[in-house]
Amino acid sequence: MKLEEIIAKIEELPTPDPIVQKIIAVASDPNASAKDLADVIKLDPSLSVRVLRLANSAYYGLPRKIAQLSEAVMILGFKTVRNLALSVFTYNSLMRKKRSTIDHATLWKHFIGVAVAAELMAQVVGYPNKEELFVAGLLHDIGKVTLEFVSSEMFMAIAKLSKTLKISFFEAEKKLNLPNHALISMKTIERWGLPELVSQSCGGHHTPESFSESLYSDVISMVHVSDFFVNTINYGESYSYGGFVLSPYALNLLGLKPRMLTNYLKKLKEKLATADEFLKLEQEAVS
Amino acid sequence: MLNQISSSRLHSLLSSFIREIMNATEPDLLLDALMRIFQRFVDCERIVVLGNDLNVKKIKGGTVEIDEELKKMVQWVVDKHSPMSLPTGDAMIHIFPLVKAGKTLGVLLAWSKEEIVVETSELLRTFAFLSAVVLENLELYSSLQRQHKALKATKNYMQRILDSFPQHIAVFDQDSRIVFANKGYSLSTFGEDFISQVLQLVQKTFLTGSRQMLEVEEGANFYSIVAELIEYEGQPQVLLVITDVTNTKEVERLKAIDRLKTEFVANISHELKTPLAAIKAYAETILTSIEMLDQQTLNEFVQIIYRESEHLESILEGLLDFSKLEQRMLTLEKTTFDLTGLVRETMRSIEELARSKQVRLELLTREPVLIRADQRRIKQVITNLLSNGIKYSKEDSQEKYVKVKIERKDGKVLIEISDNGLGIPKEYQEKVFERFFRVGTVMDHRVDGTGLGLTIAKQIVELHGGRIWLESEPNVGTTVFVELPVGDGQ
Ligand SMILES: Nc1ncnc2c1ncn2[C@@H]1O[C@H](COP(=O)(O)OP(=O)(O)O)[C@@H](O)[C@H]1O
Ligand SMILES: [Fe+2]
Ligand SMILES: [Fe+2]
Repeated sequence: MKLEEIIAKIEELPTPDPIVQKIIAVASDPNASAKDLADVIKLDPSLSVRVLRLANSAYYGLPRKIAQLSEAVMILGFKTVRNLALSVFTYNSLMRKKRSTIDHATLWKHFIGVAVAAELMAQVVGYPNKEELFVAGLLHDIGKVTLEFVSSEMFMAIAKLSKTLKISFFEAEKKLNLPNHALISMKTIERWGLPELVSQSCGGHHTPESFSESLYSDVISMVHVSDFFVNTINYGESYSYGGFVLSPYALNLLGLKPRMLTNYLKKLKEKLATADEFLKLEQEAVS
Repeated sequence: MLNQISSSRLHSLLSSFIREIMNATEPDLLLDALMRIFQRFVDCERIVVLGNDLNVKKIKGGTVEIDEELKKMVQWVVDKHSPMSLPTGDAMIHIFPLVKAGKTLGVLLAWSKEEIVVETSELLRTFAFLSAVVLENLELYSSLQRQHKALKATKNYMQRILDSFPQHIAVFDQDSRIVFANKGYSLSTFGEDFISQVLQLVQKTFLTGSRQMLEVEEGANFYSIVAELIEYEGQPQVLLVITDVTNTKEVERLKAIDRLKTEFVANISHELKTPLAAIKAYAETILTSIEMLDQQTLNEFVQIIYRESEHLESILEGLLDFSKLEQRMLTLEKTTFDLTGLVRETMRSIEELARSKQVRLELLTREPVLIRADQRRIKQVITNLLSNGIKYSKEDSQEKYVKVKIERKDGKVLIEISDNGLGIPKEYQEKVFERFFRVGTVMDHRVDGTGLGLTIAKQIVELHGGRIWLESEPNVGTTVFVELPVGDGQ
């Protein structure tokens, strides 16, 4: 199957929930106020509850309880609240497919892991737009979900090859002459109306060096490094079984020294320990 | 109020912010600029900047009290690097962190009735972020400047202290280049020779790694030079201190000479007085009672007078020799003669003194030893050494002796003159060769002497190209060694 064919299939995928699209749009509208964003989220009561729940979770560790969505927007910021809504939405679309051959829960854990890791990376290297990195981390491997949706046989073939040869999912795709999941992630995200920064940093997360000319080379590198660490500490699973490479190009670009990385890894483990709420989104959906 | 920002307005805002940032030469001015920019975006009643310790650093518009709850929120903003608009009653507090790559530089708090929209929030956040970057650089820069100033002040201070030293102080690197010098050194006018000696000493210090000392005479001055290895930024260097010791040296020498002269005058007068007194007494007796004296007594008296005047003459001669030696005017008249014979003859001439002290003189060598030297001077040396051996014998001891042994050894002759007398304490064994020096115990005139005997002996021996030294043990005895070259006397 060619990339074009897969893309054609992506076109057939249901577009994201209209409310989510609206949320993304409002969060990027220069004139939107906190109330505007809150009003959109309120259209979906279940989403509202879960967003508030995440806003009050240990991951944010706010000194005071947030009772209202508009308050959440003001205190946590437009982009963060948008991210919470997006997390809920991604989670839903991932779990919707009941007949799946793959373990969505552990893949979701990988997503959240990289989202948290990428946001932290932005802090460490001093990149101001850390919220965009959270989404980029969250969605970097969304192409795998798309791929599995389009052809679960193909997905399993890649995963199996990765497992037997102890190579990465990305390497296995190459060996099987299949389009790589990073590019599929990029195509998927473009359809969601998220900023180019997000789609690009997902598209290049396995090959940061080939994006050296890109306007987004730094964010691509941040997602790449975050993905590497989350994979090596086995937080969740990305159906990639070994062959994890840490691009020296990315480390250089971000000016990351070994001592900073050890520090980063320590902080990352602390952060992940507070991110449990993101893993249990389903319970809320049921209630 | 300022909901939609047109791109031209945004451009002008950015430009003025950049201009203000560029003009800010210190952190304080930068914070002022940041506060001004904030007020252009948001209608604020009050703006406060907290330092990195979260204490109030700057306020615009009335006083402010930051309660515990607000403090917690501020801390959260700092920890998460996330700006926040905190609703409080009817107003808002916009809190922006000034952080850079994990480092907190401060926090900006703005009280406003106005809510902010997405764009404003993003822009303010960018400004806050940029300000933090510039702020850090400025703080770094000013702390560097402060450090630099402090360093310079310390350096000047040290230089002034070191300049005030009378010593000449310099520090050399491994290529013998001067890396530091005080005024004393840089203004000094040492000669080429002196400098080359200094540089040699510096090199030697680098080589040996240990402290080196040297005394150098330059013109009429004496300098003591101390070179010591030091380390600067991992590189070895040599610290050199040159002290002018002319005055201390000269004063010391003059004092010593003065003391010796006083002693000498006392000694010499005593020396001269003894024979003079004898001569005077006998001459007087003859004068007043000549008709009462028989021929034999008269003869005896005149003999004494003659002998004492000979003694006097020899003392004066010694003095004369000494002053000649001192002025280096003495010349040698070399002939070839038998040294053994000369020693035997000298012993005979001193026999009387020996007998009076009950000291046995013994010559252990019989065969002749030919030598080319100044016979009269060598006799003087032997006389001095023999008479010392006799003079400094132990009064109450039984078998007192002075023995002489002469040996030839590859082109050299070694004369050993040993006694079993008083001996010389270790600390004086070198000093006895110095002019006028006499060991304390004999200073009370129990034994006649001038302190010149060994000095003269040493100078004569050295004029011949020989050496003189001694071995001695108090209360056991002394051996004086004289080594002379045979000359061409085979
Ligand atoms: N053989 C010796 N035994 C002990 N002391 C000696 C002997 N020879 C020299 N000395 C000591 O050395 C000093 C210096 O000797 P010298 O120069 O001959 O001067 P002088 O005998 O006139 O005092 C003497 O005063 C004496 O104290
Ligand atoms: Fe991936
Ligand atoms: Fe991944």
